[in-house]
Amino acid sequence: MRPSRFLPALGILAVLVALWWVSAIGSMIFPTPLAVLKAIGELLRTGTLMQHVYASLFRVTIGYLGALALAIPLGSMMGWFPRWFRAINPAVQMLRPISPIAWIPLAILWFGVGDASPTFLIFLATFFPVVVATASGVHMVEQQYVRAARNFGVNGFTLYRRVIFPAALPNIITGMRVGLGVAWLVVVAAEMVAINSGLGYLIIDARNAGSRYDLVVAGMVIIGLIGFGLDGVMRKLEHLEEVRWRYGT
Amino acid sequence: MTNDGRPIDMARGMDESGLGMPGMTMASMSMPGMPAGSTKVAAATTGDNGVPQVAQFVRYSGWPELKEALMSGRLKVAMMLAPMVMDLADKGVPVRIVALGHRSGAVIMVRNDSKAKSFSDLKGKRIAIPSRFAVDHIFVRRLMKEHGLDDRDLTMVEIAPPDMPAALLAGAVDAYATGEPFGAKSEIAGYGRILYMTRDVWPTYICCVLTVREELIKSDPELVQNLVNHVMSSGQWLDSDPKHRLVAAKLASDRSIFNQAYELIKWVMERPADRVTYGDLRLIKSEFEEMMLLAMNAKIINHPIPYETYVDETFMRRYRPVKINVQ
Repeated sequence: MRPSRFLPALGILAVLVALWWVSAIGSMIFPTPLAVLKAIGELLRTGTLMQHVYASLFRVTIGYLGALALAIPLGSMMGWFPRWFRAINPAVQMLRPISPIAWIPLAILWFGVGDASPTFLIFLATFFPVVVATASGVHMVEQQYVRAARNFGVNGFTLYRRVIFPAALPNIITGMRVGLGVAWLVVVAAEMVAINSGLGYLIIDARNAGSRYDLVVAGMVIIGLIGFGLDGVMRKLEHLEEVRWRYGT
Repeated sequence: MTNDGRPIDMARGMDESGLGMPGMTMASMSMPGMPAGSTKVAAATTGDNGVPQVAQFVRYSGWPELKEALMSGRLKVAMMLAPMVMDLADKGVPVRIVALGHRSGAVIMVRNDSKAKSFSDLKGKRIAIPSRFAVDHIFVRRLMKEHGLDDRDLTMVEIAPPDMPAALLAGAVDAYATGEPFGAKSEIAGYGRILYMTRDVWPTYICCVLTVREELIKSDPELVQNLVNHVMSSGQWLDSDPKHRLVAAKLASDRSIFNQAYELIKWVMERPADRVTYGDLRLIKSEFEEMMLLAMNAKIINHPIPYETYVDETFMRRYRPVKINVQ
């Protein structure tokens, strides 16, 4: 890559870190970038960092894939059949704005205090954006494609698999990208539910401790970096040929 | 001020904080930090009976929030977990303990149908604690030691106290350790029973302590003295007559204070009357040293912290009883 492509981003990051450093000087709570680097070093040395990262990635992966497995079929049905949409959409729109934090007591009641509760919360947070994006993607599929396919005698599931799904895929991928962002966003809230690992847990535990705000911010930095990486992967998906057709390139 | 504009006087507020609901989410009462000017006003403005009036009490929904407000100096006075104050003072946060908030008041709850009769019956089970840094954790550790259980024998999971009763009911945990009233909650609801109360095994148990920032001690020692006088007198008032406990329960159940059902707080106050005690809120060095060593053992703090670092006994020594006039 040419330097001119990533230099501006690096410059902005450098400015942010400099601002951070200046505002953290003399603060009891806000640690300096150096203190945070040291905290990350400490986590790496003790091996706990990878433990937390794996635990969070595991929960996000399961919750996210579970959400996709349900949301894409349901969203497709809602997008294709207006009656499904009218029946299900109000419930979806009502459940969608509820923060995963509000679900915590119920999650504990239903799923106990192991991995299942945070995974369920991540599932909930991811499910709705993907349903909505899929439904709108399928709904907006151009009728001429469908008519053309029907003229060739393509019907039923084959029509969905060969025409509708590919046509809606750009929207679905956008929904998946938003969903993954949300899944990673709620990891801190989701890991408030009794468990002893995860980046969210790391942050909550460090806040409970007397004065370990360096670990709190270290957790934030790690979550940010991994979120950046995950988004990069999703963007790669958007460049797949199956998806790019729509952009006419 | 309360919602209807009535000033809350310090003594009364502190009776209520003296209830010392030590849950993570029922943290403590605290006096909001006021700019230096208004602190003076608060000190100067005393009620009819010389009771200092403060702007308002703030209930924080979690220990970290309370701690951060205290660390940043936005809050000058707080009811805070004792080991946390030790740690903060050790790290250079200018805070001192000037009196206790209450004694006893933690419980270990199991389901009614649990076969556990003693702590050793919890071997191999799961127990909920509010957090690794909570005093309830120390209580559990102490019982583990007494009953010969080690880390492998008990799985501790961290759950916010308000969620504990549901976790017990759902079978997600076999027991939970918490400060009241979250123990009484499952007891009143009919599915939980007490396995241990601090009153039986550790009656001098210390949890929440009255913590003051040093700049307030320096700038307004009279206010701090007045506060300590009222807190300690309120404690004696509470323990001197069962009727007083009901008055306090009524006040504390208010939406602006604990926002918990009156019946729940009444239950905690009465069953039995020494479930939580307030009569002796003096600072006793040997008790704090014991607590400090237990906190070290529980890895809440990682090195010994001298008593003098985190305690200021001045106000307790100069304590003058005041009349508590609450209806």
